[in-house]
Amino acid sequence: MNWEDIKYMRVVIWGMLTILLLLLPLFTSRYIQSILIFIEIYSLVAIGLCLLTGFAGQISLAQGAFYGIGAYTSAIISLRLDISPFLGMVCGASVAGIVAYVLGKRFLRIRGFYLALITFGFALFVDNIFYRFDFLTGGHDGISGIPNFSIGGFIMNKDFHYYYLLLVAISFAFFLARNLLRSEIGREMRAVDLFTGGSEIASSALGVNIGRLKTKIFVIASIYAAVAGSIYAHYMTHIHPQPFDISSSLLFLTMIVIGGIKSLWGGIIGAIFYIGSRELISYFMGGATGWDLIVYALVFLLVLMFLPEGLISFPQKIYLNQAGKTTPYE
Amino acid sequence: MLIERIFEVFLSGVTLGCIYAVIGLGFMVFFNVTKIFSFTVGEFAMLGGMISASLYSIGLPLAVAIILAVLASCTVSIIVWLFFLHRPFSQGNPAVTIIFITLGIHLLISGVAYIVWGTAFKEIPYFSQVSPLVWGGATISPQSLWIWGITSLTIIGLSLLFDRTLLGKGLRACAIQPLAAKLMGINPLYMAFASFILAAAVASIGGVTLAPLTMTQYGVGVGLTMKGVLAAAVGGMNKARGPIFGGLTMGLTESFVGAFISSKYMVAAALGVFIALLLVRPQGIFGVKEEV
Repeated sequence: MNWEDIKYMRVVIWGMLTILLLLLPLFTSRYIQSILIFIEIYSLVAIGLCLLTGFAGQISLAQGAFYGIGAYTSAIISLRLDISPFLGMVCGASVAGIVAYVLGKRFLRIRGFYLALITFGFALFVDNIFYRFDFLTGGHDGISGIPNFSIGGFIMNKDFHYYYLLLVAISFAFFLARNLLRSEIGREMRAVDLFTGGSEIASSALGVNIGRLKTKIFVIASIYAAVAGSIYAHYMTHIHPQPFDISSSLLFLTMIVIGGIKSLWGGIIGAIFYIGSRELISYFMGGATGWDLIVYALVFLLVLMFLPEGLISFPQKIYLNQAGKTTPYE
Repeated sequence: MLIERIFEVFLSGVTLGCIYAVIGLGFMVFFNVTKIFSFTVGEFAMLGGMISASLYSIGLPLAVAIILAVLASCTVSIIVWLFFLHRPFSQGNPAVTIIFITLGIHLLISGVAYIVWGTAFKEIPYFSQVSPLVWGGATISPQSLWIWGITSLTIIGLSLLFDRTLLGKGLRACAIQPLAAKLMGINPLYMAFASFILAAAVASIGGVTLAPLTMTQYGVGVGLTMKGVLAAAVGGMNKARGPIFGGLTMGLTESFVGAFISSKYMVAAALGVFIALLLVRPQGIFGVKEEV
C-alpha cells in the first residue's frame, strides 16, 4: 500500500465511523442506548486519564473523585441556585480544575509517584464528604430531582439527546487532547517520556519545567472527568456516592491500561471493553458473583504482561510481525 | 473525669495508630526497595484476618490459626510473585506497568476472597480472654496491649533484620541505589522478591491483630492499603519512624475527633489533617525531597 491509498482508506473509515455513530440511536433500544451513554461518559473520563498516565507518566487515583466533584457541584448548584445546568457544569469543571491545580502544583514537583499518594488520600476524603456531609450532599441517599439539561425552552429528557451531547463533548475533548499532543506541550511531554526515548533530567536541563507541564495535564484530566460527571448527574437526575468512590478511580485506571495508555483511543477502547464485559458477564452469570471481578482482573493482568501497550496495539503488532518489522519503540 | 476520658481516647488512638503504622511499614518496605507503589499491602492484611477467622472457626486453637494465617499470606504472596511479578521485574518493565500489575493483583485477590468467603463479616476473639484492665481511671481492652506488643515486636524485628543481617543490608543497598547494588553482587530481582514477601508478612500481622477489634470482610483490603499508604506518606518514606509517626497521628486524630466532635466527621477530619500536612510538607515529615 502506498501513502495515497492509506490516506484514502482513512477518509473512508472515518466517514463510515461517523455515519455509524450518528445513526446508532435510530435502530437501538433504550437499554442499548443507556449502555452507549455510559460508554461515552467513561470514555470522556478515560481520555483525560490517558493524557495524564500515558503521556505525562503520572498516576492519579482521584479521577473518580473529580468525576464525583463534577457531578455533585453541578447538581447542587443547579438545584439550590436554580440556574442553568450548563452553568453548573462550568462551575463543576472550575472547582475540579482549581483543586487539581493546587494539588498538582505542590506534588508534581517531586520525583516519583507522589501524586498517586496524595490523590489516594484525596479520593478517600472526597468520598467521605459525599457520604458524611449529608446537609450538602444528601449522604447515602444522594441527591435526586436534578434538572435535565435545557437549551432555551428545549429540555433534554430523552436518552438520545444525551447520546448526541456526549458525542459532541467527546469529539471536542478528543481533538483538543490530540492537538495538545501536537503542540509545544506535547513535544515537551515526549521529551520527558521514557517510552519514547526521552529523559526527565535531560529535558529539564534544556529548560522544560516538568512540574508545571505535569500540572497542566493533571488539570486538564480533572476537568474532563468533572465534565463527564456533570453530564452523568443531569442525565441520571439522581446521584449517590457509590459510583464516585475509590474503586471507581481504580476502574478508570484499569480501563485505560486495557485499552492502551499510549494512545487517546485507548481510553475509548477501554471504556467499551469494560462496559461490554460487565454487561456480558452479568448477562451470562447473573449479578455480582465475584467471578466478574476475577475474569476482569485476569484479563487486565494478561494484557499488562503480554500487550503492555493495550488492546489498541494488537492489530499494529500483528501487522508489524507480518511485515517483519519491530515496534517503533525498539 | 475528663482527664480519664482523654487518656482513654488517647490510648485507643494509639491502638489504631499502631495498626496503620504496621501496614504502612509493609507498604514502605516494598516501596523503598523497588520504588513501586503497591496496591497489594491491604489485601495481605485482609487475607491475614480472613484466614485466621476461618481456621479458628473450624476449631484450631487461636495461636495456631494466627500463625498459619500469616504463613498462608506469605505463601499467597510467593504464588502471586511467581505468576505475575517475576516476569515484569526480570524484564525490567517500567514502574508504571508494575504498579498497574499490583492493581490487577488487588482486584484478583479481592475477587477470589469474595468467592471463598462471600460478603459475610468475620471475627476472631480477643487474643486473651480477660476482663478489661483499668489503668489510671481509663479502661483498656486487653487486645490493645496485644496490639502494642505485637507492633513493637514487629518494629524491633524489622530493625534487627535491616541492621544486622546480610539480607537486610542487601535490601537497604537496593533501596539506596539498585545499579550500584547490582555491581556489588546483589541481585535486585531477589531483593524485590524478598521485600514483597516481607511486606506481605508485616501487613498480614497487622491484619490479624486488627481482626478482633473491627470485623473483617473480603473488601476491607483497599481501605487498609489506603490507611497504610497515607501513614507512610505523611511520615515520610525514607525512615522507619515515618510510617510509625504517620500512623499514630492518623489514629489519634481519628479517635479524638470521633470522641469529642462527631464520629460522623472522624475519617474526613483525619484525612483533612493529612492533606493539609502533606500540602505543607509534600515529602512527609521525615522525608527527603527530590525535586524534578
